[in-house]
Amino acid sequence: MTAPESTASVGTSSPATIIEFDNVSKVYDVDGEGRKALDGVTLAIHEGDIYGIIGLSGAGKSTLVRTINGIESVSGGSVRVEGKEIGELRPKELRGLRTRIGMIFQNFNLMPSRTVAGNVEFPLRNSGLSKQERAQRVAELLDLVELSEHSDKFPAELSGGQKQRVAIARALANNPDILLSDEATSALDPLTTEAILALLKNLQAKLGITIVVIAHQMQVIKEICNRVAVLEHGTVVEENDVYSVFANPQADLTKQFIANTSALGQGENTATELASDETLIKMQYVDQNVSESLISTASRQFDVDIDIRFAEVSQIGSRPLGGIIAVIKGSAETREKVIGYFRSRSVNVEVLEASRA
Amino acid sequence: MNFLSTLFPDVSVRMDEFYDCTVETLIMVGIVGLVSFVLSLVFAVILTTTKPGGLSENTAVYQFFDKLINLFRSIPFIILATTMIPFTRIVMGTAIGLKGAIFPLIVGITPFFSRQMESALLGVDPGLVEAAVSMGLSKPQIVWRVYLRESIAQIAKVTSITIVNLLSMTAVIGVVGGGGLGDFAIRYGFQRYMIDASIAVVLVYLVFIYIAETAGKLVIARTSH
Repeated sequence: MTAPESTASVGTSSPATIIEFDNVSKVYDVDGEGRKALDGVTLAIHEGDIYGIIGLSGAGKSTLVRTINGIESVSGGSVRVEGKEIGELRPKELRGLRTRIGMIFQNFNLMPSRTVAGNVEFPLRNSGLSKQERAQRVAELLDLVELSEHSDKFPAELSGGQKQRVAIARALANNPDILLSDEATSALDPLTTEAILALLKNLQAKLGITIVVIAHQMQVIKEICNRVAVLEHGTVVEENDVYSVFANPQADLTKQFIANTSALGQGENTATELASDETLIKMQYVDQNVSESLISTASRQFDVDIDIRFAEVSQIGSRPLGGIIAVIKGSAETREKVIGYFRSRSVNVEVLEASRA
Repeated sequence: MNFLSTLFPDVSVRMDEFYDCTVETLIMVGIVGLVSFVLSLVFAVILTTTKPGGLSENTAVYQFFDKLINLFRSIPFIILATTMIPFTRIVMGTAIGLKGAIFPLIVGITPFFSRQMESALLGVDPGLVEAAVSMGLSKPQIVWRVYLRESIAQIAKVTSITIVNLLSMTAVIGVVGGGGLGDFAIRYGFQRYMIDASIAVVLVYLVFIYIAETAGKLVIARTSH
């Protein structure tokens, strides 16, 4: 982690805020009518974060991220990057700042007329480096994304994953402090997505840069982010560290996103018809020491049948998050007790379906 | 030569004149093409950057050039060429011959060429422009390194289309005393019923058009990846 800037974080051990949104709003003029793309967004992104911004299409994710490098202006509120108010920068200062904020895109946006090396060199032409120094930097960058042997190819000759690697190398050319990723894996197949996400995570660890990731899939957030903001109709409906969001989602939209990600979510829908003395529950356990043994303990202690329908453990960051869908069979009173017991052991229990008996 | 003089009896006795007319047409296409290429590129860049959502959005400038080009494009060339005769005299000193032909040809072809160029530049993926903006490039750099550089193949294509159009305009200008092969075809082929003169002119035009299209295709092939 780099030394904190003299501002915000004096006297604290947490990393400095690098990007700060303060009550940001953006209104577009659509056929004479104002449409709010962003509405009162307040967020802080810290140095070294891999910060996820998730939402459905049209939620304002892309607009929000583009206010960081001033491609989009704001209608209200303020965006500060490295302590500088974006709206107050003169054009030249803004261009200077942009060289220190790399950006990658869903469609890669590589220049088709230039080779791989030419594309990576492209942002270096304003850097004041000599031709030789530029060539050396290009070689370093291509080595970093493991594409050295493709340097003379044209983008059209590359696969999607390779194109995104070139784009990442290009975005890192001027040693940026911040990397913006706009749906960078949305056009890629699952395997390539994994590889690109791993590369981003790696680069963050190696270079200590701050990465802002836009995604519409929770999988991406789960894979690499440490914090996430959920955006709906231009407002932040939930913001927390990724583990907490997965373990205990608050907003309905977040719950939907998570349900779509995990097989556990799908499992809820596949439940069979319940008998009159059965309750279908979803359990989520956060702590490592809690596990399925809890179920057999409960089963013995309360003399009920607990039938596991589905179980999974997912890894978020370095911590596991477990989930079980099970049916409890017993009297209404006992079932209540079992659920109470689970809750007392800090297992998050959600009753999906209960018989009325 | 005997063979040619049997096929084209009226042309072969005027070989020197035919040759001069061919050169005149080439000069017309060369000068007009070059001047108009530069002008059209400038107009196309202005249109592309000032249009709504463009790099330097400016509705007033955009509307002015957009309407101006439409106005000149809607005038049939033969009417434009004759109406312009007084202006041509002021600008070029004469309204006839090679010198008199160049000015009306530039005014006639540039609106068409500009629209063609504009469509070439509009073919550049807006994502590339956004990427360049995000890297901190200035507007002139984006025009040069993205808009123009990435549309070379398209520019070559529209240029060869425009040259073919320009060739037929050079024939029309011959009607109003502009010289060149058009003039030759009118004077001998049309007015004196020497059908072989018309055919010879058509054949030369065919060669010119073939060259223009082949050159265009070569540039496209070399710049597309």
